[in-house]
Amino acid sequence: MSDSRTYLRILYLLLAFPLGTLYFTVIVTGLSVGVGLAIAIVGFLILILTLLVWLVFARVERELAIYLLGAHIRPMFVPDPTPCRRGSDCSGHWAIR
Amino acid sequence: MTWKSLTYLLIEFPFGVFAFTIGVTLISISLALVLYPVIYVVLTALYQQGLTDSGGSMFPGVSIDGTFSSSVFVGFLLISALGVAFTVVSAALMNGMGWLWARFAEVMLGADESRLQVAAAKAEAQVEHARAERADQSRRALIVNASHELRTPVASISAKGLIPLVW
Repeated sequence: MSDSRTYLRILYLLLAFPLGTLYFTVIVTGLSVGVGLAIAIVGFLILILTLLVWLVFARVERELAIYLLGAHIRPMFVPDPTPCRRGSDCSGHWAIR
Repeated sequence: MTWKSLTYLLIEFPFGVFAFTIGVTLISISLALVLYPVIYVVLTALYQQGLTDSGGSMFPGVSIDGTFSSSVFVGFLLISALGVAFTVVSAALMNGMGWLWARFAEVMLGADESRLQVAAAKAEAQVEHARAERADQSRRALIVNASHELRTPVASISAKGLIPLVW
């Protein structure tokens, strides 16, 4: 009871309903409209957009789970061990050295 | 990670409905039980002021009629104590639900264990490669030096042998 983690977790449980509803509605709508309109070219654009939104949602959920639930979540992307040199592709690296 | 995260996001909807229902129910019951004596006092006072018409009942055998009974109040204090216990238990219950969902999030939102292992193996291979490169470099340097150190005296010896032939 005196632990602040408990209150943060309860806050998360209450937030999970509106957020979960938002994720479900947006993703399911995006995917079905995208697939339905795929015979026209617009559908693919909608699918790509839905994919981006879904990645943003996943990122938001990661942060929420880490800060509110206290989850120890592994990194989303594994850093590339090959050295990152100037001029080469450094996108897989944590920090641009 | 992306497919797992999609599953996670879609499952969060039913989970959110479930958790919200349970959470709101537990919080309302806790509040109502804890505030039982307060509600009794407030309702009695409202009745005395004539702000409520019908008294109604708060408990079997106890009706709000403007008279404040201290024994009823003590009874409601006991209900309040029960409410405190209920609050502690329900907070623990919700904490447990959050804990479980955190474990689920850890599985669904992080990189795969296999990917981490591949990255670790890659890093190890990188180190080994650098070491092999260094070893090869020193071997080559040794050959160059040794051949120089051997050839120079051999050249001078053979030249000394050739001098009388030329002269």
